Amino acid sequence: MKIASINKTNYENNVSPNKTSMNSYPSIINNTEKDSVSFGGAAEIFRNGSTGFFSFIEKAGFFVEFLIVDAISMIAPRICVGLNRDKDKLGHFNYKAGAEEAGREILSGPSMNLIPMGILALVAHYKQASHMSRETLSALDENMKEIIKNVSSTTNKNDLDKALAEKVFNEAFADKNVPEKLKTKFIDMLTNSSNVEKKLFNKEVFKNNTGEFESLVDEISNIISGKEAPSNPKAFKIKNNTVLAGDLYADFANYSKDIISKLSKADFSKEIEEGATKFLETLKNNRMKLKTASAITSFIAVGSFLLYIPKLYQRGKVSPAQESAMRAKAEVEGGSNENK
Amino acid sequence: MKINSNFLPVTNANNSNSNDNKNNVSFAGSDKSFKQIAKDEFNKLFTLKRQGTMSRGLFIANAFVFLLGTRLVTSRDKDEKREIIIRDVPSIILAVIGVPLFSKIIAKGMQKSQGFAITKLDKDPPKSELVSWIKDKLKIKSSDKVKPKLSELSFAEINSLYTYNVKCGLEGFSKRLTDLGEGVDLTRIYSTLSNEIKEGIEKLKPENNQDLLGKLKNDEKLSNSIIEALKDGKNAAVKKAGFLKSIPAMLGFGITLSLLGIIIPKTNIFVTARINKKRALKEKETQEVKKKDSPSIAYKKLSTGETKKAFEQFANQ
Repeated sequence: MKIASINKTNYENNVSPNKTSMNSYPSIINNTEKDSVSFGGAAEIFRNGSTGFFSFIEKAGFFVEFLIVDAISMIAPRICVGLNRDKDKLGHFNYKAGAEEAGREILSGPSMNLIPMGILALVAHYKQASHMSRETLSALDENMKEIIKNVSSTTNKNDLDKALAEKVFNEAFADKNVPEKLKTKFIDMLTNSSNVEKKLFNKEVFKNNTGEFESLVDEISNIISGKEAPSNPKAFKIKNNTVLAGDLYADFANYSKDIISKLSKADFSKEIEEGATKFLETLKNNRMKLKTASAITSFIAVGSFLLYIPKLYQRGKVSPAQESAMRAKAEVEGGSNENK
Repeated sequence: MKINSNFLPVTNANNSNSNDNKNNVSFAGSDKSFKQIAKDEFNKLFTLKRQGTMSRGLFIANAFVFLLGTRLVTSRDKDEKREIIIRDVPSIILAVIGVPLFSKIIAKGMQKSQGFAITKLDKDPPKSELVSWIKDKLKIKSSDKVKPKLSELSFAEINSLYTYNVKCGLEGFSKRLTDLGEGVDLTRIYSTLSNEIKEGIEKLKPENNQDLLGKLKNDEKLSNSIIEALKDGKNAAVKKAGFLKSIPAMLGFGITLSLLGIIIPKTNIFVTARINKKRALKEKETQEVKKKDSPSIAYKKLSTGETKKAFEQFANQ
């Protein structure tokens, strides 16, 4: 089937008055390009398809990449080998061996990623601020400490959020002539990030907001760039660290939900600055230690599960390898018995 | 927001320069204690990524300790141990770092041969504090030349790099591309945008990137048509760059999968077969040596020659 090429420029070329070729009609149907249209269409589909597929894998991260590698190179071949073991002697697939291989490989590979993901999800559910990188946590903490120096009371969470958002903006984009409208939008979006609905299995609304925030930062970066183009328009700096806008949106929301809300509920009857600073420092250290602890726990949990897996997949006391050896021995002995 | 300060400022340590903060990663760290460096490295290793997966180094460490460790401990003989080491050590490492490793190498070559920027070169990468400390202690002089670090661009970065939504003109836009690394060829990149542009650029006969930019400055019509074409978020250059980036990923997967699924198992079988062959040969030799000294042959020796004479003499006494 001839797929008409949707390459705009081909059409434009053939309609352009400057072109002195014989063919001056719009030639969508009768394409005069050297490579035929149907080939071009299939190649286009392949290009777009492969770009889309690998873009998905990159976004999905290490988990999906490892799953694909593991499934194709370890799980599938070993199950095949197991099923075909002594097939000639048994007369049918060796289901027992196949099942054991399947059990072992399917349980060990993916679990090494799923268990840590589960642990992090659990920890981040209760202590949200432990879900960001150490650099971001330090940077937000430093900013917060500077803010409380100039504050008379820490009880209004919204005011604290807004102050932090404004500080982040000023650090990243100050004296770069950002239009006031965009500045206000930036600060408002960050301030409201902790109020956006974000359920465990329904993150659509939050994702949309994150996308909006990223586009906003993209717009700001491109407006202020002047003579140079920004190398990554969806990123900016806080305290000498470059962060991605989408990541920071989520991190800000977590920081606000966890630390700022606790700060606003705590009572500092004496000097606010000293008390609040100590409070922030304690919380920050606690979340940092929690990060390391969750990694260590994941390490040990995955290890223990890997040690336990044999009990899950082994059926019966004799391994398929032993059974195969026993079959071979029986064959040799049976053969020699016949000869006697 | 109201900034109201109605109490005395407290001079405490936190008022001082934030550079003193131990957790600030921009601190050069040359006089950090070993304990602090070790702690930082430990924290860096024991960290979960945003998605919750272990970092690749931690994953490999875990697999070595628990998968490999238990298999070695429960292995029954030297053969099995050898098989485990030949088969499982490379398998674990390749399964975790194979795809990005091969993909990066191929992307570098692809950039040089096709002229499209799909990698970026960090000319001043952060130095590992642990390595610096070790070099310092062993008095190894660290060279002044800094090795630049190559990394692949993400698809999102490629989409924004090849789309003109900036205000800096074609020159600034081009500089952003050529700054990414070696081999970026603006002629080839802009020629993909449309046939008209390609012909226009060919007429200019540019020798290199600088030459092209200089000539484009004088040709406002061509420059504008390039910019207009680049404004489309799905222009031909973006599409080609995206495809050129997915090729190293494809090949990275292909090489890793064939190494893991075919080459390593076959190598293992080959090595085992060779060792068994050697053993079989050795056993055959010892068998033959034993045969030469067996009783029947010894008796045959006895019954010939001088030994026979001596025996008969004895018998006739």
